[in-house]
Order: sequence, then C-alpha cells, then structure tokens
Amino acid sequence: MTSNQGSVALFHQAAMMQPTALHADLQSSSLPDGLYDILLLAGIIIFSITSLSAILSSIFVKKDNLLYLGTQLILLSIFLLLSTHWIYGPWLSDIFRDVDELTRFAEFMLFMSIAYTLDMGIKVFVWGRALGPYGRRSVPPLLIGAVRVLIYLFAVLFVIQFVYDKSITALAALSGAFALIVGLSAQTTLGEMFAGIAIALSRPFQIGDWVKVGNLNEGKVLNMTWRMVQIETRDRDVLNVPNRTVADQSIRNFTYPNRAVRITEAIHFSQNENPKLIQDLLSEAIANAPEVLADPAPFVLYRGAKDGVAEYYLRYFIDDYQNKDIATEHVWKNVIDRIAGSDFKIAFPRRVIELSAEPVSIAKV
Amino acid sequence: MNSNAAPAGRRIAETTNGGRPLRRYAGVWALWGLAVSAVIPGEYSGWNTGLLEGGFGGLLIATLLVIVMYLCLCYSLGEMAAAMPFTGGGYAFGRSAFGPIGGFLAGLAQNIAYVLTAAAVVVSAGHALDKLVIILSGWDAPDILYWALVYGVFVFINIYGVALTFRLAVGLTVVTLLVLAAFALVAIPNFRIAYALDIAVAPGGSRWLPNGLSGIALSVPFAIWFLVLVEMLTLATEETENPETNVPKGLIASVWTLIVAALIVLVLNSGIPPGASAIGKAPEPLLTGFSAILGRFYNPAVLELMTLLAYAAGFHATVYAFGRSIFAFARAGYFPLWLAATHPTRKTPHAALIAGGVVGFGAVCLVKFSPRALEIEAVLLNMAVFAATISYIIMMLSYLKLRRDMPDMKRPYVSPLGATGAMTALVVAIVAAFMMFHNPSYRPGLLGCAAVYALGVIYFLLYGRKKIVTSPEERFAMELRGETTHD
Repeated sequence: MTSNQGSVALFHQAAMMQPTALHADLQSSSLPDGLYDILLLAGIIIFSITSLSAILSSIFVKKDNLLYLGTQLILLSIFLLLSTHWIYGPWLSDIFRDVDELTRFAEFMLFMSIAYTLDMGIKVFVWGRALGPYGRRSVPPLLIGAVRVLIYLFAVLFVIQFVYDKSITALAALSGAFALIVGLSAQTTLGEMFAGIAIALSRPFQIGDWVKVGNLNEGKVLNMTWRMVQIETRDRDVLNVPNRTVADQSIRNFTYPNRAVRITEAIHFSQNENPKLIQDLLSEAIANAPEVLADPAPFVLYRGAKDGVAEYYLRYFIDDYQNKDIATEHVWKNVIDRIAGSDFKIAFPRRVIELSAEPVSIAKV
Repeated sequence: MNSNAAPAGRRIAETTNGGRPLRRYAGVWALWGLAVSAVIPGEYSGWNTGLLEGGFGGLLIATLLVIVMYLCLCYSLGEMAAAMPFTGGGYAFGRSAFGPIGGFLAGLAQNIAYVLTAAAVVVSAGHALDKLVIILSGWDAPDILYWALVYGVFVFINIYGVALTFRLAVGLTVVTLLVLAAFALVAIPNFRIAYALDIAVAPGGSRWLPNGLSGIALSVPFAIWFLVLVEMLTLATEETENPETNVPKGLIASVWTLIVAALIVLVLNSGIPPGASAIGKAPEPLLTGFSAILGRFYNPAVLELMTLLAYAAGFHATVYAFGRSIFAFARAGYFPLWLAATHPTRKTPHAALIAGGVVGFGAVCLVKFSPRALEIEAVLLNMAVFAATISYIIMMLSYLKLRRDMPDMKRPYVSPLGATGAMTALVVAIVAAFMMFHNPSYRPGLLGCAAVYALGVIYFLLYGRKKIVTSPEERFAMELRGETTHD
C-alpha cells in the first residue's frame, strides 16, 4: 500500500507544477495535457478499437483476421507502454499495484503480441502461401507445431530476461544440462523427430501420396507423426516406418509430380504377323479400358523377335496408382477379347534344346 | 416479380438501360475532383463546433479516430465498388448482401444523406451569396431566391452533361484546395498552440481536454464533417472508364487528400487568432481566421467569394450524388420508375436530378418556415450526417456479410485492410451514431431523419417491394444470391 500512496503523492506533485492545476483537482490533473500524450491517448483509443474489430471479424467473418489482431495488439502495447506515466493514475491504479507493474504488463503484452503476430504471419505467409502452392496439400502439422513452440518459447525467455530482469543464462545452462540428459535418454526418439522435420522440409511425399520406401511394400501415406510415417498397403494393413528409415531410404513416389503412372505389360505373337496391324489392334484394345488415360495416349512397342516369337510391350498411363491392379485386369480382358475376334494368336516364347544321342564315355571325362 | 410491374420495368429498362444510359467518361483524376469537391465545404465550416465540445485535444483525437474510420471505409468501399460497379452504390452493396430490404435501407439512407446535404449546403451557399451581393451592391434579396438560383444552376449543369460536371468539379476542387494552401501559408507564421488551447476548462478537464474524456466522444460527430460524403464516389462507377481499377484509386486518392486537408485545417485554423473558443462559435471559421490574420489587408468580397466557391463545389458534387442515387433506386423500382429516365442526348438522369432538387428545396423551405425557430442548416446537416452514418453501418455490414458468405465472389480490387478494416469502420460508425443520439443539439435532426426513414420503410413494405424490376444491380444481386424471383 505504501508504494501506491507514494505514487499518488508523486502525481499530485506533478499536477501542482502544471499551470492548469489551478482549476483542476487531483483527478483531472492526470488527464493527458500535452500534444505527445494526446497522440498517445488517440493511439490507445484507435488501436483498442482496431483490436476489438479484429477479434469481432475473426469471430463473425474469417479467422484470417487474427494476423491483423496481432499487429494491432503490438501497436496497442507500444502506445500503452509509452503512456504508463499518465495512464496509471486515473484509470489503472485499482488494477495494478504501481506504475512498474503496469509497465511490466505492457512489456509482457508487447512480447506476447510480437510472438503471436509472428506465429500468425508464418501461418498465413509461409505455410499458407510460400509453401502452400504446387497443388499439393499443406505442410504437415509436425513442422508447424515445432515452429510454434519455438516462437512462444523464445517470447517467454525474452519476457523473463527483459521484463522481469531474471537472467536466463542460468536457465539456459540449466536447460542445457537438462537437454543433455533428455538428449541422451531419448536419443532415438529425438533422431526420429529431426528426421521427421527433415522429411517435412524436403517433402519427398505428402499425406495421400502412393509411395514405395526402399524395399518395403508400396502403399498410400496415411499420416506423418513425430516418430513415424504410416503407410497403408494394398492389403489394407499399415506399415509404420520410423522417420529415420524413411529419411535414409530411397523413396519412389507414384503421385508426384503428377498422378499419371505408366504401366508396362509384355505379350508375344508369331514372328510372321505384321507388327503394324498388331500394334493398331492392341492400342485400340488398351484404350477401351476405363482406367487408361487418353493423354498421354497408350502405346504398343514392338520389341523385335526373340526366342522364336515377336515381343510387344503394352504401355499405358493410369490416373490413380491405387487402381493399378484393376486397370491391368481391364486391359488384359480387352486385349484377349480383341485377339479372340481376330486372326492373330498369342504365341509363347520357345527355346529349342537339342539332345545328342552320342554316349558319354567315362574315360573321356 | 409482380406481373403488373414487369412490362413497365422492361419498358423502362429499354429506355434507360438500352445501350448505355449513362456515359462513361471519368478517369482517376475526374473522380478525385468529384469526391474532394463533395467534401470540401466540410473543411471550410461545420467541424469547428467540435472545438467547443472536446477542446483542441479532444477534437484532434476524434479526428484521428474518424480518419481511421474513413480510411477503412474507403478501402472497403473500393473493394465493393470494383466488385459491383453499379451506380446504386450503397444500395447495390446492401441489395447483394441482405436482399431487397437491405438494398432499400442502404439506398434510402444514402438518398436522405445526399438530398439533405445538398439542402444544407444550399443554405450556406445562399448565405455566402447574399453577403457577397450585399458587399458588392448593397442589395439584400430574400434567401429563398438564392436557394432557387443555386439549385437551378447546378441541376442544369448536371443535366447538361457528365463531362462538364466532372470538369467543373475538378476545377472547383483545385481552386478550393489552393485557397486552403494559401490559408496554410498565412496561418503558419501566426500559429501558437496557446490559441488552440484557450477554451475554458470544465471541472475535471485539462487544457487539452477541457471537457474530459467525454468531450472526445461528443466531438466525434463534428470530426465526421471533415470527411463525410467522400463515399459518394461509389455512385460514379457507371460513368467511369474501367471502374474496377479507377474507382478504388479515385477513392483512395480523394480520402488521402482530404485527410491532409482536414489535419491542416484542424491544426492551423484552431491555433491562430482569435483562438479556438472564437473559432468554435464562428459560422465560417476559415474566414474568421483569415480576417484575424490579414487585419487591414482583409478584403471581405474576395474571402466571401472563396467560401462561395467551396460551397459551390460541395453543392455541385452533392447534386451529382443525389441524381445518381435516386436514378439507381428508381431504375430498380424502389422509387417510381419514371424517375429513372435519362436525357436522350445528354445521357444524364435528368428526372432524378430535378426530383432531388425539388425535394431538397422543399425541405429547406419546410424547415425555414416551420413554426419552431430552428437552425435550419444545422438540422439539415445533422439529419444528413446521421443518415450517412446509418448508410456506413449498412455498407460495412454488407461488406462483412459478403466476405463471409461469398468468399469466392469476383473481387477485382481487394482491400488491404480486409474484414478487420470494415469491422473497424463499422464499430466507429456505431459509436458515432450513438454519440449523435447523446448530443441534444442533434436531436431535432435525428428525429427528422428517423421520421423520413420510418415513412420510407412503410412505403417499401406496403407498396415498393412489389414493384422491383430487374435493374443491373438487381440482376447482379439475384445471380450472386441465387434468387429466381422478386417477392
């Protein structure tokens, strides 16, 4: 209580020194009375209104306005911080113990608003725009979470260091030792975490992509967590692959940069048939399968005569790698149907092995 | 749609909308000239009563707050005007966001604002003209004659053609801004902050805030006079080349020009002899300041002419505004359709211009010859400012509703302040409207405004809503909202 009385007395003295104090009581003397303070008051009124508006528009219109809220709160905190010397007396003496406490509150508000604005700014400009395009889905929550934790951690450290004048060196040393212990005991988990962040940054795949990691079964990426990547295989079971394994292995992505995937199947005919006719027939048959893309167009490659037959490759693109098996089935059914209705016959590669009748003498060996 | 109204609507649509009823003429600078000229009388007088309410500091804070509101308003209106480039302005925005009743409420508010602002300005202009004539010839003619003369001249100019209208607006704007610049040049050497702070301090106040914090709130309605009507630019979209880019540019150029002018006038006109308490009571504060500084070099005729030019600029632009506003409202059937006729060769909405002129002239005479002695100019201007504030509230609500419900609507210009900006303008406008209620001197004006508004709403609910026809604004709004019929 003594400090409160002291500050009131100080205000009283300040008031007595001003010319207007003649016809002003204690209450009035603490009203701003100078251009600088008037502008500060204008700033406080204006940025209180804009902050309120940002909150209202976030509630009623769109959450995007939270970035504006951050910038308005920064400005409000700055104006509040500059006004503490006169704003405390008339209005805030019931809430705060003394001017210092008000100042600390304003500084705390400033640091937290900056952290909040950074957080929202990164959300809008980095995750939403810079890393948002390429027609792919947004950045995994893992990285976003890590960055947010770091931002607020730094803000809190700043507040401790600069607002409460508590040196964070000890805290840093302590946290260093703590980190060492945690690091050693959770080495594997931490490794997974950083591998996870590395994957998120290099983005070899995205949730929903069809991938094949190393020699593992191919499948669709279900989720990317702090510790592992979950892949759903064609058998509908889930492969949980540790992030470090994913980071070390070569990854084949069937969905990126575009969803079209080429499939190749071999078929053989007699060497005597005209390749051009066979190519036309097969191309038409492939193109009739519903999964096969018209662009890029299917193509039948004549590979030449081998092992007594002519070899052809059926090449076609499908849009969704998930449908690979069913697409192959439809293509083969169409091809078999067309061949059945034509004069051509599927041939089989043959190798002629000539057997000699000459007896083998043991003595010779 | 009402079966009786439809053929009439189509017929009007053919006569007024066939080809291009209004002529596209204006570029950014023509728009700038029009909007600045509409507001410029507000820098010459009206604002100064705020000095008595809030003191210099209070009015300064209120002005900064109002500046924030108008910046937010203009950027938001730029976005809406580019997305909905129709002459209806606030009516088009309210119609698209809230349906026919929203369109009607916004349109009625802006019609009241423009018609009555013109009526209020004509009183000032008549006063200035009268004084000038007395100085020059000693002849004191009745006010009503000057009012009729001013209305006649400017309605005629507006009917004559859009090119002349815009050229005259730019010319008057340049001249009046030069007068303000000249004022600033002579005022700066005489500026003493003590002059601005000479208002008697009430108990609990300080020199900068003589009436305490409530003085700030009370002076907000007067600070609005510095910038009110700049939004009339949204009515010029159908007469603008490339409105999608030019209207936002024109709005923003105008509002920044006026902000600079307002701050110069506020600071310099308050801080010169005879001091803020005398300036606050002066009917023409700029002239009072000029005459106090110039002393024996003071030439009353020249100064009276300067004021007259400012009122002429404001009146001219306001006539333009009520013409377009009534035209768009009538074109959609909210007012009788014959008001939407355009001149066959001049391509201007002559019926709406004449009707607005007659109504405004009638309003001046009504208030002038009313049994109670009222300050006619103040009553009319208070009504107009209050109606304008109501239209801001509806327009900003429209902006927020469209941002929320139609995020993918085509927006050629996007406000950098976003929904927060519109929300800020909305909050300040609501505070301002509330403060107008709070001020007893505003009450006759507010009651008058409320009465006209109530009559309008009754007309719309009983009759007008059945008469709506497919004007460009209506067609756009119906497509946007997926409506099939008018009900």
